[in-house]
Amino acid sequence: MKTLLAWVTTLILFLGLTQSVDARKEKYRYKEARNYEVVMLGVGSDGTKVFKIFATDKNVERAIALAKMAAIEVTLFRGLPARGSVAATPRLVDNATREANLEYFEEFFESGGRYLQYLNVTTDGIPSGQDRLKVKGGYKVGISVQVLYDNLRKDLEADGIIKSLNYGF
Amino acid sequence: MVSNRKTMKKIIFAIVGLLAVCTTAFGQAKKPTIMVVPSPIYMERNQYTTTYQDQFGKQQSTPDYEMAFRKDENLRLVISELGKIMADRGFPLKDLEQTLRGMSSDNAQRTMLTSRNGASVVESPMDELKRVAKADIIMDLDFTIKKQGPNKYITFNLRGMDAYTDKLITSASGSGEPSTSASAALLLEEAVLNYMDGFNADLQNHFNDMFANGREAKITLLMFDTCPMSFEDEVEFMNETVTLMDVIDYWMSEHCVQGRFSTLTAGEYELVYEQVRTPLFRTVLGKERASDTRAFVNELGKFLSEKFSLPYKINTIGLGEAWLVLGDQ
Repeated sequence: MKTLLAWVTTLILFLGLTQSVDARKEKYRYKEARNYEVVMLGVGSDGTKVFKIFATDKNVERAIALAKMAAIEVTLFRGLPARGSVAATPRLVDNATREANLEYFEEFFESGGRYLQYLNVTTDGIPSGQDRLKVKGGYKVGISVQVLYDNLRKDLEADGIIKSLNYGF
Repeated sequence: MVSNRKTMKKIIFAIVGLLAVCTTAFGQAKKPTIMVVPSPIYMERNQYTTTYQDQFGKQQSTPDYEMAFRKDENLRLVISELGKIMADRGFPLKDLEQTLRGMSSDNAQRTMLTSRNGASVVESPMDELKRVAKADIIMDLDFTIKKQGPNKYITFNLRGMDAYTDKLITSASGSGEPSTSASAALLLEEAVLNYMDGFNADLQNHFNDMFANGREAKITLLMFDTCPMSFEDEVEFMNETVTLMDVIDYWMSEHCVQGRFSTLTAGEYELVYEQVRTPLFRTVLGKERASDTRAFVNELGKFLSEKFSLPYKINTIGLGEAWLVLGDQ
């Protein structure tokens, strides 16, 4: 009986370990249908964009992490919406360019990856009140961010992902 | 194993060689110049104009840019902000204020310049007319600082125009957030930052289109009164009797990118083509070189000169516009 128990425990541990390794190796994929809410907060200072982004996940920590990634993802692949006197910002990367550089964006968006260097979170501490809502399937969290838009654009240009304005001249 | 390594080395050298060839074969296209010009409506509203009476006794007014730059610090601030952003994107702007200053200093030097024997610099009336401040893309700027109770806000309108085709490349306009405390300078700075990313994205699309489909140009063909023929005269070409105009149309469709051009005017002594897509590069002495409308029109002139013994003269308006005048040099 003891031997059987030991075997079952080993098997469970092994499965758990392989699953977590798989989870860590889960590749980043852009999903068109991902549900984010973006609210522009004003015109950012030189070369930056400031907005609030809401994301939903199982718990608050995961929702915050997702919102951080979403802030960069929205800037890159969707563009930022207009609001009041704040003009819309066009996306930096079009669909064809994204598809042609899947590996680059996998590495860019990997957990704790490069994307975080273009982001300043301006919300203090853990979001509360209207910025942390219990919803079906988890928490909807809103964080205020400043995206270093010009730095992001320049690095994508330097990496040959997008063309600079003076490309070819 | 060793032979594999040798093969790999060969492949790497081949790739490096190919890249080197590509880099030298495809040079850089001629870079358009961009200049911010305050719009006529801005100049009129702020009374930066010079009024005069024309030959029919009618009161006319023209923008006085020098006066605007002397008196309007907000205008200078907006142009500086725009210049900073464009320089950061690799497109330093041609400065209208400096160009005007340079031109007046140039004019003064030309009139004073004499040789040891007292000869002065020769200039045709056409040369004199050409010495104006110009650019390939004009950023037409208009803004107003408005007041609503204690609040101040900015209305902003910036349009990117192709100087030759008069086509609107891009535009950005809107009103800023009203504020009681922010200075006009800060509101103007905010307006520029707010609209420039969208403006530049459209400009990028314009350049992408130019690289894919050629530079859009305007070409005018004229005739000197000494020219022995008109555009409607019949000539023998490729064993057929056609008009000179037909021959020029044939040449255009053969040499424009994807044969794209449209005829604006087709008269006896004047032909005007617009939306002419001219190639950005041409081969000279076996090497790819950047091309412009002048070079394209020169090829047409050479062709007409060889086929019909018509001498020609070219008048270059800019990167995207040129005239070909037939019948003399």
